Amino acid sequence: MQQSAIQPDYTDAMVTAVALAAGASTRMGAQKLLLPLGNEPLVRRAARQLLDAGFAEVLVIVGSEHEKVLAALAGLPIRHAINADYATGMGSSFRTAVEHLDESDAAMFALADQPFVTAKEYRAVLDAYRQHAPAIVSVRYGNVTAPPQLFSRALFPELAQLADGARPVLERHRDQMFVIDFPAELLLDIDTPEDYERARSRLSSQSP
Amino acid sequence: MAESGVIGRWVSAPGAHDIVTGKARYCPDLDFPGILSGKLLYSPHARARIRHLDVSAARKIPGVFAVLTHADIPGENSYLYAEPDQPLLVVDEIRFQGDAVVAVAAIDEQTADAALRAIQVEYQALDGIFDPLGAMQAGSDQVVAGKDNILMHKTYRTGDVEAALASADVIVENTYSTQWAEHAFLETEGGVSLVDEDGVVTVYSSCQAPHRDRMQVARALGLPESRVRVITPYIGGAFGGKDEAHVQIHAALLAHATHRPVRLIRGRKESILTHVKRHPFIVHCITAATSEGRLLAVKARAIADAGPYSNATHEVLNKFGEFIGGPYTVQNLEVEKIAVRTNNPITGAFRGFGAPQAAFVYESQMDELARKLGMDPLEIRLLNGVDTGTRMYTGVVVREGKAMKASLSKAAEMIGWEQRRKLERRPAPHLRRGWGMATILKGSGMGRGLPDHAGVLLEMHRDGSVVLQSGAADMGQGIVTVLAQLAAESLGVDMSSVHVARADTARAPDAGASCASRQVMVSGNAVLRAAVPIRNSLLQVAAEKTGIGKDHLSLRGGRLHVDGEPHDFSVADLAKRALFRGYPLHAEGRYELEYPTDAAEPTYRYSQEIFQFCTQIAQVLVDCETGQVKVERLIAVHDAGKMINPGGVFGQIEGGVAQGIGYALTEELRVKEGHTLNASLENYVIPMALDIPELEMDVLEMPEPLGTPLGAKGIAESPIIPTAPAIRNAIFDAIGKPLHQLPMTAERVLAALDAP
Amino acid sequence: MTEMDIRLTVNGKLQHVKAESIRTLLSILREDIGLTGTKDGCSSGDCGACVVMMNEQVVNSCMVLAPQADGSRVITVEGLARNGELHPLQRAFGETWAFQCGFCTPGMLISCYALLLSNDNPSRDEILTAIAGNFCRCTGYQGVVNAVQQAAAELRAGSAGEDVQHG
Repeated sequence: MQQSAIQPDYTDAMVTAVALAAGASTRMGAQKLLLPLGNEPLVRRAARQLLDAGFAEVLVIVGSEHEKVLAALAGLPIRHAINADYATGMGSSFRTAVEHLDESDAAMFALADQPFVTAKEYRAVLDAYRQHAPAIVSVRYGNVTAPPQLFSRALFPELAQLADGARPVLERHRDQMFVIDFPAELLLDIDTPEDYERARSRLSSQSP
Repeated sequence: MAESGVIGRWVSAPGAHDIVTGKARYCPDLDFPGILSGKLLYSPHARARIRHLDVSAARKIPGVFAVLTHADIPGENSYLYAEPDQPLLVVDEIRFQGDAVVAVAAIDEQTADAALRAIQVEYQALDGIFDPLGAMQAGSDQVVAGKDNILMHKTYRTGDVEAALASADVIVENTYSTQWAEHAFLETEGGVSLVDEDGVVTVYSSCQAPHRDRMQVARALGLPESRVRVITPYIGGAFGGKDEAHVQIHAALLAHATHRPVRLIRGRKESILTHVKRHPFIVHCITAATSEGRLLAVKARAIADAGPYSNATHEVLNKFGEFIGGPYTVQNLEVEKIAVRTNNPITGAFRGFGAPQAAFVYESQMDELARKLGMDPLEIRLLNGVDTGTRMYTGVVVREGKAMKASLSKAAEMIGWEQRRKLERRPAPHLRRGWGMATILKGSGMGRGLPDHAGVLLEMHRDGSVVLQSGAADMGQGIVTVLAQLAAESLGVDMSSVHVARADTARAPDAGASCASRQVMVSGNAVLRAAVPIRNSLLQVAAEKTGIGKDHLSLRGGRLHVDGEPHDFSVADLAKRALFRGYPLHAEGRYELEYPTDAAEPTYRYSQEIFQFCTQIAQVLVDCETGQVKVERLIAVHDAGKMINPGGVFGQIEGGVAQGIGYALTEELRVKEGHTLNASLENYVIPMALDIPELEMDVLEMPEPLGTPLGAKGIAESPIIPTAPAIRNAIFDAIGKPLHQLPMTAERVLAALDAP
Repeated sequence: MTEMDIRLTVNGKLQHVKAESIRTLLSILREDIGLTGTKDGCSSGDCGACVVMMNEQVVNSCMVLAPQADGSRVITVEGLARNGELHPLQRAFGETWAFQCGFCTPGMLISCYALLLSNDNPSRDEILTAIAGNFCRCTGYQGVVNAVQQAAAELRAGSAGEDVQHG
């Protein structure tokens, strides 16, 4: 199928940044999103990075210990939605998000526990959508594909059917995907206490 | 789809501005840096052997870039329309006046002419075979060595003709003959070819079938089709005469050989001498009826002069046979179809494709039957006319047949048939007035069992503008306008937002040839199909943004409408949002004309089943001293199924009738021993503005149920078919003498007056 | 074949051309001056595709030789629009479907334009006489009659002293 030769200017597209913050952290022992990193809870750090990246709005999906997570986000201009079924898997968070994206032309889904992905990277994903108009923008760290991932609205119905992560949707639409490469060292998510310690020491050795 | 936005309205052709300002570019107007002039060398003989060919002197002339003989053709040295029998450049034997021997490309026309003059050819003139009846005889010299002069001999029979003839109360038996006719498209054949930066051989072709041209060019160049590209610029008329390839392949050969752009345009005389003509027919026809006027049988034997090569001969003969019984219920029919090779001009496709010749026969027969029975010509036609549900002598069941009798009745009413005798029949001692009618049928589409499909690419951009890529050639018949209307209507935008790109094989899917009145059906439907997902995307966005169900939403005039009322959102707003949301705004539409398998298969192979019924009635004034015939009034009632573009429909009818008047009275190529004597527009007499009466036209809209867009069925060919027999019957009425030969020149009218 | 200097005014603009005396006005317009709107349909003066106005006369430019064109004022189809605005005839031709393939249209327009210069309310017969030398194979002539009468009415209504400019 021929692509349009015109590169669309998508600056007035309505793109929501969705932070997936509903999961229980079984391996951490404590709700990891509330652990401090730098001088703020992990989830608040993630939300602020998303807020600085130029999206039309930020939607946070909460679930496990949602009152505490929302308290950690107090004062930030975010929307939220509660995923009561968070225990069934990440698919439930995608479904909850889709139900709350009525006005969005596209949405980027980010994990709340990737402390080294910053506003700069999130902005690169948004820019890729604006410049290349793909159905999906996905990210590769070295040879690992991981969030954040941006989906145009046409794919929302498929996201709402997910059981867990978005990999099946990526596989199905491989030919409509625009891939951005990020440095491999940005891929550190916090699943275990060891991950957390490593993150803390790495963060303190970087300039703020 | 919302009705009556642009469909059925008088809209301007998208190309109107270009045409009226002189900006429209046809092949002769195309120019590229370093372009060369191409020309072809023909033989002065209609039949000759080439003894010796020496192009060396021509090659040495400064400014001559290529001199090609058959030996220089990298691929296949044949046109290949249906058969590969016509060479691009003759190898050893000239078989008609238009066989090309050498192709040259030079810096300008004068140098190209000098190159042609410098070519040394030694011919051995041969006795030509010019009489098809003689050529049919066993032992006759073969026009093409190793091939029977009888190119085709097929008979179709249904019912029991002999029994019907034996039991008939009245029989009319005549021999008819028709002439070679010239298309006389105003823009002569041309091709402009160049090799682009990627090495793709590009041909701008004044043609009817760009994808088929691509195949033929690739074949001759020995290249894969992916390395050939054909584009149709504006085309100045074709009428079937540019269906077969003409000079575009030669232009490509020259461009390929020189690596320079080459423009090869035929002069008018050259065009008349070389391209295909309408087949002349000799038809012996027996028509039998009861004393009440019911047709019992038709038995016809047709001999067509094919020229030396087959071109579209099989197809034309088959189409002739398919309609020889007319739009009538006839149970018993036999048609023997014979095509004969001669060294006369080549023959091929011409608007009507055998149906005009057939109509001249069967409608003349009907009037002679009527006279023998003392019946009114209208009455006998209504008695025998088909209806919806009639099973024709081809086995085809007429799905929509109301138009046959409706057009008859309407035409009769328009001329005042019942009161016609009230008008003075002898306004002066030497003048006779008469009225005659002809009612005919023609099919649209390639025919059952033949591939008949088209694809189209449709895309809406973020500003609501639309681009349509179709491979359908527009030679003036107006398919571009119809496709733009269908796209605009389906997507809810104005026509000015739709750009239909000129057919380009590199961009557009194959739409097949513009022939057989088919493009409005197949390409039209392809556009409607392509529009569906795009419209769905727009309405999806509209539903999401407004919260209103799709049932209440529509698109019209560039704006969203809710329950018929305009909404703030423009189509452009919706398009932009759809692109953001990933909803597709581009689609390929593909349509294949499929015939239903519920009824019994027709017995006549490749029969068409979508009918253009029409009736024309002529009022003529015959000058019995000079034989001149003046057409005073002409009524034309045509069924278009559905008029998508009324301006185009009326134009087609008028243009077709004008051609029909010429075919009837004055147009005739006089060929002597294979040479056309009147190869100029001065001597090939075509009716012009003062010769054509003000037409009285009506268009019926009886939608075709077999999957045509909105019921439209194509009207390109029917206008030319009834004119000659209507005029013939009017002359018959005026002077009481029958004519059986076309054209009905003054001499022939006088001869008929003198006949007993 | 002698080459000569030819000066002619085409659509109000002075043109200098070097051409052999055997060249036709048609080929000079198309090839030397680059105005390809005027067409060659027969090269023998029989079809009218090449019609232009030369010195207020309607001529078949394929039959006018270079020496005859020297010093002349010529109007071609490209000269009918003013500042991008179509002449009422041009607009009317599009609206009444006075053409289909369009190849005859440039010549046809000039014949009609010439008629309207001397006759602001032509009858059907007068129009047909004016275009008697313009051959149309696609469309017949009724659309042209309608277009001319429509344009004539528009010019009469809008004219109030407006000069139909040319040359």
